[in-house]
Amino acid sequence: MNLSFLKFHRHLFLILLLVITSIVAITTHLGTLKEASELDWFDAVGEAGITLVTLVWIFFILISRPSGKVTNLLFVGLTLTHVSMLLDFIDEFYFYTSDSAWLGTIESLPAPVGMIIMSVALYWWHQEQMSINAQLRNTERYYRDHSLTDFVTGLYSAKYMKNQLQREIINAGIHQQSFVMMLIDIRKFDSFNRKYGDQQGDTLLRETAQLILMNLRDEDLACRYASDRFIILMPNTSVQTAQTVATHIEQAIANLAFKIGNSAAAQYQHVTSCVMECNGEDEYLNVLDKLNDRMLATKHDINNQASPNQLIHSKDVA
Amino acid sequence: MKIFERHDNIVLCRQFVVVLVDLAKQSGVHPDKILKGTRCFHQDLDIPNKRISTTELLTIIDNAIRLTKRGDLSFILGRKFFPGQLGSLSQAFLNCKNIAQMLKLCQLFQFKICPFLYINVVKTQGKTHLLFNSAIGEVSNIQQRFLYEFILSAMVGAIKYRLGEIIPIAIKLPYKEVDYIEQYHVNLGNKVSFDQQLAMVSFDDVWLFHEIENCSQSLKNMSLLDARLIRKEQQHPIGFVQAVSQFIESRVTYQDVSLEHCAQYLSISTSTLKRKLAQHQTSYQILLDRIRCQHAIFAMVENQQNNEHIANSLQFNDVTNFRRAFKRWTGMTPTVFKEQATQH
Repeated sequence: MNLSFLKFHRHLFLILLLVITSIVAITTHLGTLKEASELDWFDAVGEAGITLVTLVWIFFILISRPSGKVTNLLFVGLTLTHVSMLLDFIDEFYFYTSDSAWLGTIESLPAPVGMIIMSVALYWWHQEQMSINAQLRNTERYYRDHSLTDFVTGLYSAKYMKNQLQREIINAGIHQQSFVMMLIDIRKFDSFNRKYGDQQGDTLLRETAQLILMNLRDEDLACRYASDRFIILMPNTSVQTAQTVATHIEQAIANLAFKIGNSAAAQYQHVTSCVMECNGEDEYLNVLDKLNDRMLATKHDINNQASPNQLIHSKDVA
Repeated sequence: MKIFERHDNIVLCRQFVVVLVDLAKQSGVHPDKILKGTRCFHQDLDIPNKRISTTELLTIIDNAIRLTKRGDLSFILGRKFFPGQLGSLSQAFLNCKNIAQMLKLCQLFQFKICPFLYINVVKTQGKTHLLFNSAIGEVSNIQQRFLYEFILSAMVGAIKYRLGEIIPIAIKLPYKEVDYIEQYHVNLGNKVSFDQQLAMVSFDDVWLFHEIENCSQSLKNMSLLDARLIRKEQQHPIGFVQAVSQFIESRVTYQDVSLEHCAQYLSISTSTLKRKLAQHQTSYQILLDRIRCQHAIFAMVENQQNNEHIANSLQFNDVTNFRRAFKRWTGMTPTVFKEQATQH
């Protein structure tokens, strides 16, 4: 579990602790303990459970979110609900004399107020999520599964693409449409890694991923395939269109002035791309096999086309 | 001949463990968790020549895969291997003038490069085949995949580094197709056939002597001289199971491959031989069967020998017995197997 958000919420934890201790203090001070025979254990255990669960919810909200309006509102709503539950629970063990009977009366008040506040908070959360979704454009389609995210680039991994590809193959078969798969491979990524280290390599992957996303259309999906290779699904697309987009991506990356750490010197990178049209007849593993074969052939052609000078140069780099 | 066993400390941490621990750290797994179950601690990794046993290495591999849930660890380890992790040998490798020379180095210095797998180089008409087998006995499916993925990506990485591009090779692997096939696509770049009876890499001889520019024969010789000296001092051992397997391999056709003869060859008693093989999770019969099976398949597919010839060379009384044994090894009769192999 990643607890890095906790440090932003120290004050909220303090408030929670204060609320809980003052409630326990007031009720135990004003009330009198019930006889053991008077206790309804069944009820007490049930209420203790609910009280604890609301605490767990508060905890998960706080470790999942940075500070801000929505977090504060969620916290207030849940804390109020928790107060009601806690009063209800203590109620099982204490009874109040007539001058402090108000305690029993107000115990159900915080919960509804808390729930209204939470509803507002959830609505805001929805709006927040909508804006995050807009940022996720091109990185997901129809379906979300955070366990398939590639932690280096923030894109989804090959597994997610395989699911989407299977879906698209069925879809293409039914609607008699074709779609295009594209691969983007960074040239000489190994020698880049050797020269500048893995951390710089990861940064390069991340920035390349961002550039690919920027050059895609709304309907396209990009994932990290493996290592320095990216895979892109372009639904309902012709090869010509895909090729144009591929050229855009190649140019964009060729013009990325990548900086190593604090150095101002630019390292220009090049990528190889290949596209393939699919019409829903092939099985998804075959599609991937063929697509990668095509990448191999493309790279081979590029190596052979390079002029002798470039060849020597490329060997020096490698 | 010096021999190491599974519990002997022969695996250089610097070469294999440090990278795995670093990769796991990237995925948020603490080094102590990766090293759990071994006698190696986090601070030990700073000791320059710290060595652990192959059993411990296998434990670390298991831990790393289970805790990071990553399918690319073996491939990254392999891609980083050449030339950085080869120490004094890297100079010699970087000055080889063709793949044949690199291959020769791999065989001479197997212990320094990959003590847990050994390579047999077999030639057929115009083709070179590298057969891989475990030097340390039976390993689990996950460990086996890891070791083969490592050695293959190291090999492809080295070729790519020296030749500037991947050469066409055919790869056969003895396990089922994995669900992270993308790693094979990107890191090995070649067609991989899964679910085969042997682990084998084949390529055209053209590539074997394809000249690599930018190498100095004298630099190579010098560093080889150094490496040989060190090798003499340190007495490079081979795995116990490798020693037994190579004994069988060299005699599998027409010669005495009995357990007794093998024990005599290794100057140990038959019961010690059996016990030591059991410690490596294997037995003489398993090894004998595997090597015969590999020999039969190779002779059948690559050398186009007929069943009678193979049965005779492997010292079966008749072809029926051979057919029965072959079915037990592979689950298929020789005829069905040959049909499938030609279809591929």
